[in-house]
Amino acid sequence: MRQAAFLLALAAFAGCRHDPPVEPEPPGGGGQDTPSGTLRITFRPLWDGGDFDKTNVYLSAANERVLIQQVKFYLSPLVFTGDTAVTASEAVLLNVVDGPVERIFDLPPGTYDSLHFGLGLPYGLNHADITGIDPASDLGAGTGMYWTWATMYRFMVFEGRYDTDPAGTGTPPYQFSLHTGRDECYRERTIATPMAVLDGDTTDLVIDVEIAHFFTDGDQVLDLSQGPQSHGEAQNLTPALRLSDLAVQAINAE
Amino acid sequence: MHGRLLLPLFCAVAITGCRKDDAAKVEEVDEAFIVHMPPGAPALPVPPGNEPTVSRVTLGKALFFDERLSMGNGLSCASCHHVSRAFSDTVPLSIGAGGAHGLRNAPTLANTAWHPAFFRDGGIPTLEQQVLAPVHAEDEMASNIVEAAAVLKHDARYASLARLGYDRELDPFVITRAIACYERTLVSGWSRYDRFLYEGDESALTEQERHGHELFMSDATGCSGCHGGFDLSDHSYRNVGFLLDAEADPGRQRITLDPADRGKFKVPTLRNIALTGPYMHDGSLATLEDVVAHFANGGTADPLKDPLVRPLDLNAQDQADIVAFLRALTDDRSLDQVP
Repeated sequence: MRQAAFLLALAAFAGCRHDPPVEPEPPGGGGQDTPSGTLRITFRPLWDGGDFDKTNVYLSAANERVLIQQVKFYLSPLVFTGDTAVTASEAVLLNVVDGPVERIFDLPPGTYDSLHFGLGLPYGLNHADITGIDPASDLGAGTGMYWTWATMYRFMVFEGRYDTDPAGTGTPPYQFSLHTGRDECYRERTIATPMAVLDGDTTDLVIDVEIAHFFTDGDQVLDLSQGPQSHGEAQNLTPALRLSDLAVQAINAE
Repeated sequence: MHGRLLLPLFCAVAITGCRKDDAAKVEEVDEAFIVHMPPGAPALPVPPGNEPTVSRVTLGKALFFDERLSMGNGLSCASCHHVSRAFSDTVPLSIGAGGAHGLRNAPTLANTAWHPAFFRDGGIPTLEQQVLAPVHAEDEMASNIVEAAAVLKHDARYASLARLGYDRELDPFVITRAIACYERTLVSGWSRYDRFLYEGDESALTEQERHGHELFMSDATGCSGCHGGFDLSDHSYRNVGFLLDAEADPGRQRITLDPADRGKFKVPTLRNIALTGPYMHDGSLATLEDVVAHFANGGTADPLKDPLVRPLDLNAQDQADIVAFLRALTDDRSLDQVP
């Protein structure tokens, strides 16, 4: 009966198509302007401290020659903490394989000591209904970052070629494709980002993505020959979990 | 019953709820689509915001048969879900737009409105979200719904239906809603078995079919333990004894990552089962006789096999009678209610 009442009420509203347009609110909502500064973050890919070049063949910590062809990942959320905690973004999708990328955020003026972020998407976003999300947005279906079969997102797409012969030459012969995802691969971290954001001014912050550290943190090693493919399935999840552990530690403020 | 009453009311209120100055435009107001419900069917589950209307199911049906959703424009949903086969395929594994075989046998779309989750592993929670999967899958339509929508939105008929049904231009949101809305109308429940069970027509089943029915429903076979209810499925996930090698489809484990779920697949509906072969998750059993023999023999010795699957005391005639009963589950009328 309650369902019937709901449907009838819905129909009564849905049946009308010519409601008067809603007047937009005046700029500023009629109140005073809220102080705001601009934070420009440059996400900079590196290899062992130097600029990353996707055409270079590097030697990984597993003593494998690697050619990196795709480094695409979500950071979610981006929360700056100082005088107060401010969420600069719920989620950003970054593709750093071609070089540094910039993102602009509005932040209230103040001093901020740290950035808390997640590599991947937290549960609520990971399990959102993508069909209701603007396809052009970072979380939309147009990004190619969604596993439709599992209704979950890829968190990171890390692809390229590798060679188990460190003395080899030319393009590495084997392909690797590690896609992290699932809630099991979500990783969070807090890094120091001392900075001041001033009203009406732009503050720059550089976040380094040290791709060489995707392969080791000095303890764990990502050996591509032991698992060159991972696409969210149970039998191939181990390299994705390791990559998640390593990659989150490879993201640091300059 | 509930659904049959509600939909006309929805339609009436949708029209009468308009202001008088809208009267001249009443033809632009969408109408509820009345889904004809068979005897014994529970109320049709309808998600808020995607109630069936004429424009929505009409658009959904047109999109279901539209090959422009696939890479190279060579496949539509109907390419693997044939109307004449109760919206299933004729081959073990369908061939995708890129020439690759799909992972699993394409199931019937009958009565998906009542499914709590989709795909044989249950990895997709709603019919609307399910639409996205075959469009994007490399071994199915190998397309991208965003790019497909960019093309399809210029179709004047689609644009009009999208505006009327969803009050927006045709986009991925509309495509997923409309196709799901159409699929929800594919209701099966007009078989001889239904006449026998729900209308008391004893003559609807032959003596052999009635014996098969008795065996099917008996504790001795336990078939109806999983294949019960209106849809002849409890939609649970079961390992029915197909021994898997390391590279085999892990089934439900693919979603849950739980080793105990390895080899489990959703219990399929048995409605129109005579039309939906080949059978099982991989289409590896060609005939209903093969399927009944598999269960009569208790499946293989898979250590994760469901305990309900066990050797049964069924002779050849018993098995034939069960097959005869299963053939009586075929609808007398088309599942497709959309003109």
